[in-house]
Amino acid sequence: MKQNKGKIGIKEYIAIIALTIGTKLSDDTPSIIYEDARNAGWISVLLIGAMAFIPILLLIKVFSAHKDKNLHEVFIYLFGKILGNLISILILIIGVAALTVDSGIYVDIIGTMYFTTTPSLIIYGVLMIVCAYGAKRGIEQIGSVSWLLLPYLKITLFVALFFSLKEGHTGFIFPLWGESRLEVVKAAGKNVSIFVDFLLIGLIAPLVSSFKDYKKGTLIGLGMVTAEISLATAAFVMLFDYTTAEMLSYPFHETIRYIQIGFLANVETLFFPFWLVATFIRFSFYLYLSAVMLGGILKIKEFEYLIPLITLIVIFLGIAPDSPSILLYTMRQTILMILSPAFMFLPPLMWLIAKIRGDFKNETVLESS
Amino acid sequence: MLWIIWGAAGLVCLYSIAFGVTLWKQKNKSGAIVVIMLSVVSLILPYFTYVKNLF
Repeated sequence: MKQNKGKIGIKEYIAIIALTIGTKLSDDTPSIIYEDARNAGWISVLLIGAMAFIPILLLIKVFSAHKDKNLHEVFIYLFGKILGNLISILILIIGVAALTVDSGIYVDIIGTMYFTTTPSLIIYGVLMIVCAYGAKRGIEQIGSVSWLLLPYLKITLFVALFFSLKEGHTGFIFPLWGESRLEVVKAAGKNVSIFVDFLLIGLIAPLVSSFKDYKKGTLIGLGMVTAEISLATAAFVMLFDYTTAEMLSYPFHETIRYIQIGFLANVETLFFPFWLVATFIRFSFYLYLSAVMLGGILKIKEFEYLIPLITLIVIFLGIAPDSPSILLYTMRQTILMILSPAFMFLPPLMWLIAKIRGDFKNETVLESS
Repeated sequence: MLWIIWGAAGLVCLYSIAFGVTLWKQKNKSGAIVVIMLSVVSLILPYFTYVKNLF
């Protein structure tokens, strides 16, 4: 199988962001946000978007001076060989841990909601084999598939949200600030790392057709996923009220089981295949990123050969928990809490070092010449 | 069921070890060692995380 080493355009890049980060509204992310923010979860998501804007903007600024480098290469350049590699290894470990926990959650969703009699290992195996195949095809194909399927996935999502808003009660989102403004801000601060993927996406920054597209795509993508997740968290509260919504592990899946479109009942069978396709794309992309990072650390140019190995490790780690609904939820909360300060701290530090080294001055000189 | 799991794990492990050997031949020794170590880990891992839970 030949790896396609081509670049992706802005459309594909935005589609990847929309499908990998936007899909978070369908797992336990809304429940984690409701825990502190209660019915003001949607405001909390908007705050998360605003807070994530600063590190993302600084990251873009750093990449503007290193247009042909990916995240790992920028780490090496800014922090030196030893510290740069150490940061990359830490990010890889946390990234693989997050991938394991996230895939475990998705297997739990499929196992508890749809294929109740199928063993988890079979579901895990099939899911990850498909994702490994997708990852091995390369970023260009992941991008093309994302762009091709984006309209269908988003239309079905908005149909689901439209009907949940229609059946919901507007009164459930009041009081607007939930328990208190402080709790809403606290929830945003604790969970800002739901957008940490924007940092990892830096690994494909040089693969986007131009830096202008990377910059534009990242900012459009951030706006898109913030609005989408915020709308979904508001819709779930309007449908169930926050007391029920925060007790549901996977509010999106309860929503599509609850709503009825005209005379059609059991509409989850309509939404489930589309959600499943988005899941395949999401984990294909994460496997690809993990392989790029591991390949960068070990100086392996043909990093795609690492994908089966990473997949196997993820499957056997993810299958371990006996009660995944509870354990994986707690683990995900912990990972988000650890990553939040790292996400807020690392890009500003990178920008500061680049500024001290005079990288931006060189960039201005290059541009003017 | 267990045989299928071990078979699949064994195949991926062999594939990765072969890749590790290729890396060794290409003079990327650190990469080769890490890949081979991870391959062995992937073969041992199911015993601690899955097979042990069956009994």
